[in-house]
Amino acid sequence: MTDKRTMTLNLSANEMAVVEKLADDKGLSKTALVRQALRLYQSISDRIERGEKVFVENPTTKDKAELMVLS
Amino acid sequence: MSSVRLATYQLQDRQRGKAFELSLWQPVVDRHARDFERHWRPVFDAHIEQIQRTGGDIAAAVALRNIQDAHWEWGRKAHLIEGRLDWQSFAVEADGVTQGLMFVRTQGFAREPSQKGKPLVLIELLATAPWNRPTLAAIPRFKGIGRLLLAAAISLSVHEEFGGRIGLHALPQADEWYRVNCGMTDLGVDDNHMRYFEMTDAQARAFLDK
Repeated sequence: MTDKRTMTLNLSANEMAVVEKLADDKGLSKTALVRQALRLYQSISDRIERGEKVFVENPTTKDKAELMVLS
Repeated sequence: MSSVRLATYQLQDRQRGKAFELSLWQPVVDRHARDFERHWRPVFDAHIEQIQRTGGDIAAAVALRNIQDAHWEWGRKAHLIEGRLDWQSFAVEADGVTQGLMFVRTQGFAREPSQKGKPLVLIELLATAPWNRPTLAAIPRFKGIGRLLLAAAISLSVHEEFGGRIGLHALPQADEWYRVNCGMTDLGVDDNHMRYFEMTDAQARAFLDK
């Protein structure tokens, strides 16, 4: 829905394997997967910049672990 | 920021008995927020004032009239999501006035067992102008604004390679509409204390084919 730019992405074999597996699992192309990853990264970074903490919760035990993001 | 017209539709104005051209715009910009403040909010405020004067169960009366969204701050929200990659917003205009508004997040993961973990578009806010609501107008002016916005969310989901999958939390009075009219799967009340619905890719195709 917006104009597009093209870039070349250099990944290690391991990184590419992860991209391919995730893309396959989620039913996305590699481009769509990277776009999703970027949205998630921006969303988490914005929250941390605002001083918020981001947690993941175990649905059974309700244990929470803080999500660490490199800033 | 400017808004782009994505599509136009013909819809019958049931109050004036003639067809109008409706336009779908992306994103929500200042003029849409202004319309909410100038045209929508006075109608909501008048109803709330009337409810308060009448007394009784205010929450129930607000739900009955389908105006729980009267306090939603569309303009503030639009500014908050500027530059965010995981939010998108849409507005429907006709006759020079905003007829419907929607904010979605393109970062959700499906819960329905057949598509668990797959990405979907989450509809966070969706509202139609008060004069289009059967609970507020004897003859709602434009019928189908909500459906049009839902179709826009599905189209976005297809565009993002999510297969048309969408999810949303429904206000209680809209449960049946999402379940019966839209064919969405009811996944029950969740931690948000609201009923959560999802549309699978097959349900999205069926919805668009209707």
